[in-house]
Amino acid sequence: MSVDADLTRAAGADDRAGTSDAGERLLALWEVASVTVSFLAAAWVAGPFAESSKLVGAVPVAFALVLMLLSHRARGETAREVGWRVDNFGRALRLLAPPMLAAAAVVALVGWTYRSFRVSKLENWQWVAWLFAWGLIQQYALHGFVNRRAQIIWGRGWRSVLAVAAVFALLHLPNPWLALATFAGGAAWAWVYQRAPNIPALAVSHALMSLLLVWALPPWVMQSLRVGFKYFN
Amino acid sequence: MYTSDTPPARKRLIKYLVLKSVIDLLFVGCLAVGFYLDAFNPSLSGSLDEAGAQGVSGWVVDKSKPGARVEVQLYVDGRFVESRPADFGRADLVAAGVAEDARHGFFFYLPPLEEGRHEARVYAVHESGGGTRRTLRQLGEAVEFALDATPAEPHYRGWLDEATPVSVRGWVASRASAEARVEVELHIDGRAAGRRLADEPRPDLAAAGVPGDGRHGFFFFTPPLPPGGHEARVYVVDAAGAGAAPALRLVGRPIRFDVP
Repeated sequence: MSVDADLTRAAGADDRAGTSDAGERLLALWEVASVTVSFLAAAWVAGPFAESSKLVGAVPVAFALVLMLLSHRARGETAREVGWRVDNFGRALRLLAPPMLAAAAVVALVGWTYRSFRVSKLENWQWVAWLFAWGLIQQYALHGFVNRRAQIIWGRGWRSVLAVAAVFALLHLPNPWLALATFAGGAAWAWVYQRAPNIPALAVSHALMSLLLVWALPPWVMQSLRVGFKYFN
Repeated sequence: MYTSDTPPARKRLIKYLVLKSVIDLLFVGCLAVGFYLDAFNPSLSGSLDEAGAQGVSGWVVDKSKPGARVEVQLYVDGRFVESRPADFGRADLVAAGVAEDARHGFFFYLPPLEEGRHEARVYAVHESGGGTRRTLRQLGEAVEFALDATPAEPHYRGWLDEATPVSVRGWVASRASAEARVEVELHIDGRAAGRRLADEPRPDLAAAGVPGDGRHGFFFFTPPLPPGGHEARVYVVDAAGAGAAPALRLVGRPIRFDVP
């Protein structure tokens, strides 16, 4: 089997129409909904209700991670198939480069227009390190899980790509500009993942784009990347 | 495509999803209940006892912190009037086993109000979230009261704070002269039991907005009484001009107490 064929299979792309088994599609939809609800609960319920303890806010995310791991096991998916690999890292970066460069140009143009470049937040190395780690978790959940389940429902292609983008944008509401940016980013990352499933490459792209947004855009646009209930604070 | 095409795998997945849904619900439910208990202190207990021309009185205790003084806020006709700690003496609370110490009562003077019917509500203030949240909880029921064109007690303002088998205490001041000392008479079960000047220091009066130097308190030792229920009343002895018989004007409200 060629590398590309292997990649394609690993991305679950050998069925462009998704499965014809209605029960299987329903199950995949339930999995996506369950994980999405966990991330929404972290942003909208656990965080604000337990403001004194960030650990409580992480509990729903931990529930989602456990479910994802159990689901991989039940479905017989390996870590390599999910995207935890290095052999296609370069190919994934090459696919990511054009949309990233285009987005970076637009963001830089907005920053130049508003003269809003600032590095204060970027000097906080703990925040930057957290951004990379959190990006890794998000990209794994979004593509290693949601994208793959979306392909079971809708097959590989624009429908599953849009579904993944919609889920990603939903998780960034009610921050309107961030939801818009994540919809575009989510679509690009989902498209790349379906061709070269590599979670670390997506996480690097995610972190770099987040840093670019914080560096270039006026604070009132991104609202410090706040989402969920925190957005209103 | 990686599907759960074998029945055991599908069954396992369904089991995981059902289990996670239940855990999610329990987690969110626990958070919601925890948040409610934190934001709306269920240990607050109290009531609005009276509202009238003289003022609004009642009590509140935080059973989770029995020694703490709870902040209370008065609203009349839906509008905020005043906030203060509930720290007036209420010996009846100790006698009833509601509080460990007596200083859980509150008293508010009414603001200038138009003639007619009004509604008073008193809320206990509870702070949570490290001071980021303050919630109000109504004490007892709202109390409706009527105000005549002239105040019920135009010459004096005062209150009978407590009456016990040991002592009777309160305060009274003249509205006409903030520095004047007023003479008061104690009545137990309708009989005069002592007379004195209300001239003891009461630093809390200035804090409550009573004009003058605050020396308007009175204190009587309760005379020996037979076991059973008794009623204490304190009256201002109003000279009402030379030659006229002095009039008695009730201070606050009568208080009933039991002698064991």
